[in-house]
Amino acid sequence: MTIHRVIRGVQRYQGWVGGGAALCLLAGLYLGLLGSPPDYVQGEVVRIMYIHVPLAHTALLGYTVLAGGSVWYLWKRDPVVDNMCHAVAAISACFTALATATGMIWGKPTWDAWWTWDARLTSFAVLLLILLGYLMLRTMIDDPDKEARYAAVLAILGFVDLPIVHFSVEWWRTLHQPQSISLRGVSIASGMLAPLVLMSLGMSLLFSYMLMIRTQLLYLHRLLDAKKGRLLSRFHAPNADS
Amino acid sequence: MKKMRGKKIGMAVSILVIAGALGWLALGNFGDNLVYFFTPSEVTAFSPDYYGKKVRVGGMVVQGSVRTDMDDPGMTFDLTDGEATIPVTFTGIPPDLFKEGQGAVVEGYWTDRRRFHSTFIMAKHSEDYMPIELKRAGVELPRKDFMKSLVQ
Amino acid sequence: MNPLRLLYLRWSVVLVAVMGLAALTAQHYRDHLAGFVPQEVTREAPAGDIRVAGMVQRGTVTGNARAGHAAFQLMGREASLPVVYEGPPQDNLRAFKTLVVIGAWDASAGVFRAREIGIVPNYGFVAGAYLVGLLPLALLVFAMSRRVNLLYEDMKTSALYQED
Repeated sequence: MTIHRVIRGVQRYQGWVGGGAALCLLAGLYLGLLGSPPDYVQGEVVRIMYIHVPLAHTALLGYTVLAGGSVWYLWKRDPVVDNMCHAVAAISACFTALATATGMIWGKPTWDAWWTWDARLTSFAVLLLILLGYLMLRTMIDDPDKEARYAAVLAILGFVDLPIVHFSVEWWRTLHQPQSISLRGVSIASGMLAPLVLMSLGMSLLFSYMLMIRTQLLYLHRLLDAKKGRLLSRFHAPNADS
Repeated sequence: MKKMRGKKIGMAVSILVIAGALGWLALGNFGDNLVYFFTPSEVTAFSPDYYGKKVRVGGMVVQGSVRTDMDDPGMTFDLTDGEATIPVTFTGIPPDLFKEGQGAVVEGYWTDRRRFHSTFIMAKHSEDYMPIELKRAGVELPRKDFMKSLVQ
Repeated sequence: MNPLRLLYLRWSVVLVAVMGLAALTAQHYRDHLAGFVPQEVTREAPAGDIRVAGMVQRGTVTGNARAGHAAFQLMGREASLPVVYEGPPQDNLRAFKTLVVIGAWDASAGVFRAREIGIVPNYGFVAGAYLVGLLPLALLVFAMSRRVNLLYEDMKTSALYQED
C-alpha cells in the first residue's frame, strides 16, 4: 500500500527535519538575543521581532498548506490528506495564537497598547477564529466523510482572509508598520536580518516536523478506531464480513 | 438518538457563534477599521458634526513643536501629514517611543477652537530596523514614505 | 536503542543547549540592569559608578542634550534626583521619557553627574515574549512525539494492530 510507503518515508526524514529545526532555532536565538544590535528607535525591545515575525509567517504558511490540502482532498478524496488537513489546522491555530500573544507583548512597550482594532490585528484575529471554527466543526460532525468535506469547504472559504492579513498594512491605515521585506526592498540592517531569517527558517522546519508527527498521530488513531470497529463487528456479527 | 440531537444543537450553536463573530467583524467593526485614523488634513476639514466626537488622528510629530513648559499639566505639540498641521493638547504620559519626527496615533476630540484634545497616544513606528551607529552614519534603508503610508 | 529513550535523549540535549543559552543571556545583560531608583540615591548616597532609572520630570530640562550637555530632574516614586549630563550627543532626552542614567552621585554638590543616558531596555517584555512564544510550542512538540512513539510501540506488541 502506498500510504505505508509514505509513512515510512516520512519516518526516515522527520529526524532530519526536527534536528534542522532545533539547530536553526538555537542559532537564531543566539544571534537574536546576544549577537544582534539594539534598534535605533526601539532599543532592546526589537528582539521580540525575531520571535513574533517567524511565528506569524509560519501561521500564514500553515493556513496556505491547509487550504491547498483541502483542495487536494476535495479532488482526490484521500483520507490521509484529510488527516493532514486536520493536523495542520491545529498546528496553525497554535502558531496563530502564539503570534498574537507575542505581538501583544511587543505592542505594549512600543505602541503603548496591548491591542487595537486596526486592519492587521483584526484580520489576524479573524484568522484565529476561522481556525477555531474549523476545529470545532470537525468535532461536531459524526460522519467522517461529511466532516472531511465540510471542513475542506470551510478552509477554502477562509483562505480569503490570507491576502487581507498580508496586504492590510499596505492597503489601509494601520497602527502596525508596513512590510519590512517587500518590493521596496529590505528595510532591516544585515545584523538584524540574520537572526530573523534563521528563526523564520527554524519555525518553518519546526512546523513541518510538527505536521509530520501530528499527521501520523491522527492516522494511527484512525487506524486504531477502524481495527477496533472491525474486531467488534467480527465478535457481534461473524457473518457480516464474509 | 438523544446524543445525536445534542451534537446537532452544539454544531448549530458553534456555527452561529463563529458566523456571528465573523459577520460582526466583517460588517461592523472591520468597516470602521479601514479608516483606523484620520489624517490632520481630514481633521481640519471636519464638519461641526465631528466636533467633540472621539476620533483617532495619525501623523508625524513636528520637529521642535513639543512643549511642556506651560502652567497647566501635560504637553502640546503639532501633528502633521505633510499637507496640514494641527495643534494637540495632551494630558498624561506619552508612550516611550513618542518623539519629535516620529509617527503617533492620537486619540481624542477636535473642537471648534481648532485644537485637538487627547488623553491617549500610541506611537507608530516605521518598518526600518537598524543599529544606532548606522543611523548616525546617515544610512537610510528603503521604506515606504511615512506621509504616504498615512494617507493611502 | 529504544525509540522512546532516544526521544528523551534528544530532548535532553536540546534542553541543555537552551539552558546554556539562557544562562549566557542572563550573564550578558546582568550589567545592563538599573541598580537604583532616584529616592535611593538621595537617601543612601551610593558611591562609585551606578545606573539609575526614572522618568524625566516635565518642565525641568535645560541645556541642549543634542550638543551633549543638559540638566534635568529624574523622577522616582517618592523623590526626584537632579541630574547633570555631560557626554556624547543624545536625542532621547525629553519630558516624560523613562530613562536610565549612568554616572556617579556627587554628594557635595547634591547632583548626579551622568556621563551616559540610555533608554529603558524593557528586558521583561523581551523575556516574556520568548517564553510565551517558545514554551507552549516545545511542550506541544514533545507531547506529540512521545504519544506517536508510544502508539508505535503499542502497535508492535498489540494484536489489535496486526495486518489483516
